[in-house]
Amino acid sequence: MSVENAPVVDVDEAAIPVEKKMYYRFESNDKKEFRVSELAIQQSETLNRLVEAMGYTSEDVENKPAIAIENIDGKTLKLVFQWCEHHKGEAIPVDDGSVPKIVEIPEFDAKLMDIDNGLLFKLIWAADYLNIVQLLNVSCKKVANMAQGKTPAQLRRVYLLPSDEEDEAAKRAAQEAQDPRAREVEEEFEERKRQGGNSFF
Amino acid sequence: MPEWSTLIDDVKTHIVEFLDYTDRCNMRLCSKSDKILVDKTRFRAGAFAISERISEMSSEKTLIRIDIDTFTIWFIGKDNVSRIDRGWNEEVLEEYSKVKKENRYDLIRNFLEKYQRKFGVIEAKSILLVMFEQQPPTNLKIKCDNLTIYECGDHHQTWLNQCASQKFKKLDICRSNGNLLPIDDRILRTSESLKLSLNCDMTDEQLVMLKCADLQIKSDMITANGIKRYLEIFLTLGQKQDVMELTIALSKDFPFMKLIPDTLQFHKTKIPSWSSSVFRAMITGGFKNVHGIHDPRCFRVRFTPEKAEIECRIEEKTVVPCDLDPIVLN
Repeated sequence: MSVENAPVVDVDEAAIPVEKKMYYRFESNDKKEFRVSELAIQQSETLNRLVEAMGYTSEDVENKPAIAIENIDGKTLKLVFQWCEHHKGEAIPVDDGSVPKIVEIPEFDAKLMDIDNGLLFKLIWAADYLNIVQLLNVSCKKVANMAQGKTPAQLRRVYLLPSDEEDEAAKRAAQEAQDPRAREVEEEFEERKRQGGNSFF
Repeated sequence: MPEWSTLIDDVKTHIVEFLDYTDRCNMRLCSKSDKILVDKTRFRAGAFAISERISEMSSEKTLIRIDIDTFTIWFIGKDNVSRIDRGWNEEVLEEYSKVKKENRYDLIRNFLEKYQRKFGVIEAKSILLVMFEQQPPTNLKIKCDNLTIYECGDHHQTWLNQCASQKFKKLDICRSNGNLLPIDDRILRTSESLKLSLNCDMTDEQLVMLKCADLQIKSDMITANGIKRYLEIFLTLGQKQDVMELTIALSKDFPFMKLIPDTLQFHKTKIPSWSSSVFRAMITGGFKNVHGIHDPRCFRVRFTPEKAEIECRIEEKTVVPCDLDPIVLN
């Protein structure tokens, strides 16, 4: 089955399946709605637990609002559900602790992940958030394959790896966000040091 | 937004786990945080090899190389002067080369110990030790599925003892002369290929416990009865490429047909004039192979020179015609 033919589509009344299988409705953070089969949902531990806990009937699925997935946008969620529909019913790999894991990227997955790096990283993020083990495996493997034979400079470009300075700045920003006084204290400390003070205290 | 930084550490670790040694080394150089990430991620190389050879320029000088996936570090020198080179895919990176006034074996010991401190154990799918006649550092631990120890003096036993693997898929130990290799349960658990081309103390009972059908054993404690019993296991479990090669003490006037179980269908075949075989037969049936491989097996015995070498395999016919160079007269 090709990526284009995968049975996940944005909601369209005409496309609502007539079979008796339960199809759940999900909504991305940009208000795109998807119908996903019960079997496909089983690939995601997070969603599977969620729908189990909700205990929806077929009527509930139709009448109640779509389940909101607030952290993932429609473009990414579409890829996630396409993947889940294609691999529905397949066994979920169990982590045996082996390193490196033996992961082959099937043709369907390779085509599905033939996307720009930004979307690929979002897909990884979503696979991790929704706990879709095999999607996380193949997407991480795809990203790891991108590192093959690359120099540090090339790796920085491919992955947009932050430099030490950027890491420091991000750390400072995070600290400041937690405690706005931290920056002032640090500046005061630096100033006193410049003036020859032995200790801040 | 930088893409990498949107991922949580567990996911970054998951990605790094797929990287080989070379790519990890490159990633380590990107930033402090990437160095920390790579260092804390468990590493199991695809292949880890140590090999030594004598320099073509001087017989006192040797070249020792350690290969970890596509990364290689060379220790070249004699006495207490060594040059260290590093490189990827056989290409030396000159900027990392240096000369040290230290013995190369001490440097290697330090390298191995440092590697172990970083990763806990020297772990790889396959570990190869080739003509490296040095004892491993006392606390060094290796772990692998496939272990090859080729002509490493009498240190093969020490390397084997310091291997933490509970079983092997493939075990290959080659030593021209040396001490008798004691057979233990771990060796008997080898699942795919067991090649011990040195004398060992394997008995008939141990031989028939084996579950691997690609076998090369030299033991004076194996009898004709053991061969007969193992042959049935070989025919049942053997894949196309598997070869049974057992070297045992057997009288030259032994009736070799008695090595083949009566339940098997076989016929004696003509020994070619160029062959050193003393007995040849073709086993054509009477066995049920678990892989469905029922091709006739060639069974032969030859002496090398005092011991009998008994071999069984599928004889592949040459498909390439033999081309002779034209003879031009005058």
